[in-house]
Amino acid sequence: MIATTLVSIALGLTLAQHDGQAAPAAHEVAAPTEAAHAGGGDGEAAPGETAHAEAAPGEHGGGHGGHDLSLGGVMMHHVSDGYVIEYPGVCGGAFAWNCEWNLRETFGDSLKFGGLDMTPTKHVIMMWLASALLLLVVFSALRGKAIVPRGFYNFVELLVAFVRNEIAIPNIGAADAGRFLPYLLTAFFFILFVNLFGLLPFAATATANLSVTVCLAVLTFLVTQYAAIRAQGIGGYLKHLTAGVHWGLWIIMVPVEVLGLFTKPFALTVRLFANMVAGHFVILALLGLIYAISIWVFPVSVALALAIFMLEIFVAFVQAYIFTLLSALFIGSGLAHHGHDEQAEAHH
Amino acid sequence: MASFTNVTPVLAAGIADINPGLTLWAAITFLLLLFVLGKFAWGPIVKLLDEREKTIREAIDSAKQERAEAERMLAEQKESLVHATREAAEIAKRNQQEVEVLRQQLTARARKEADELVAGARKQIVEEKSKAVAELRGMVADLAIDAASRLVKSSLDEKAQRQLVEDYLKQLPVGRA
Repeated sequence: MIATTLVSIALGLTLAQHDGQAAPAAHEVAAPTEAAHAGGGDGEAAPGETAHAEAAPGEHGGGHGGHDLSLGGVMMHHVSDGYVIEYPGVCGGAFAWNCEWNLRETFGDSLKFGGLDMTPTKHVIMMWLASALLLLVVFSALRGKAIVPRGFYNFVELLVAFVRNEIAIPNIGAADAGRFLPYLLTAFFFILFVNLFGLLPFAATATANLSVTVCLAVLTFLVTQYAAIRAQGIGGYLKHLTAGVHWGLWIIMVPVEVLGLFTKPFALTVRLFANMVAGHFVILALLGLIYAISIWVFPVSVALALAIFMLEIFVAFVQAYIFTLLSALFIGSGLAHHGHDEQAEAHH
Repeated sequence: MASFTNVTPVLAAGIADINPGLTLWAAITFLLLLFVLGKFAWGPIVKLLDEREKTIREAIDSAKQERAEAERMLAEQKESLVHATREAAEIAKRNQQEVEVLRQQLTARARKEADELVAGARKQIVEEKSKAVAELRGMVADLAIDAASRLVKSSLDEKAQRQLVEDYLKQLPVGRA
């Protein structure tokens, strides 16, 4: 019961970040102004508005919805990346729920290398915080490491054993699993922690950003190709691209196989991204009903949002699992001698 | 990716944009994590997992072995118990037989001795009897003769004696003289 209440408050606070934008939008959308205030702002809307107004000129121009104060705009703003981090704290001499830290102002142009803009964004910071949390959790857990384990180490070891015994060994094989285990474990824990971290109030989900998921997918792609080339040799690797068919069919098969190489990481990229974005959208849409209809729908909205939030915790694990499982599967299929090659050779 | 931005309002909002800086940061963060965790966390944890699996497997194996050993010993014990019981029964039986034989022997010997004793006694009795009879006979003859002589001496006078001798002489065959 206490946990339920806490999560409800957390959800309310998550949305409170957007009060600053939602409140002035009252005349545009159906949400009454008092409803926006009751949602968690309670007078914080005014300083939020000014802070936002100050920050606006420095923001990324890529249309992350920061200026769109409709419900859809707020949702887009929640999931999209930017250079402004909103947090509760003391700013402008008073406590506020939506203090802003503009990274663009902090770093200026110091991290711009030609066309490459390395200025950390909100998602970079969130990713770093999640990674720091991951390191903290793992290394504090390691103190309980023993042949008869203690405390939180049991849980970390459970996940490690799960990745090893249920993902790596069945798909890669016991002989080669050890080599790829560090990559799979890091991918699993990184995705898990970034996913879960994004569920905290005021945090953002870096894995709900294509730029991050594409990076992970590319890493899996590189590891997969490395595994395949190591196992089959460069000749066997290229031969596999021809699918072992008659050379006359190469003009069809080679593009298909090459396409096949890239659809896998593409699917990885989009799956993780879409899953992480979708949950946030659903939660925000449910809580948005409070603003769009009436404050009196809040029991239904909060209950449903809470259910989705629970689901999101599960999804965080599932997506980490799926990404790792598919990576292991691709690595394993790269290592193994391919079925259709053998079939083709048998026909000769 | 930029070409997708006009397709739908969602994509138009910019969440489908690829920010190369972010991608690079993600890669750097991930590789750093991979290095640090791989070296200091996953390696030791996986090694420990292997060790524990090995320990457990060995413990199970040795437990199995010990169990088999215990079972074997139990079977041996049972077998030897059966053997001992059978042996004890045999010994008891044999003892009984020996005792029986001994009893019979003793009985037989006792009976024989008794018989011999009886026979000896009987023989002695017969001997004693015959000796007594002979002795008695001698004594009876002496007594008879004594009595007879006393009787004769008292009843016969000279005239009678003469008569007796003459009778006796008359009875003798004539031819022989």
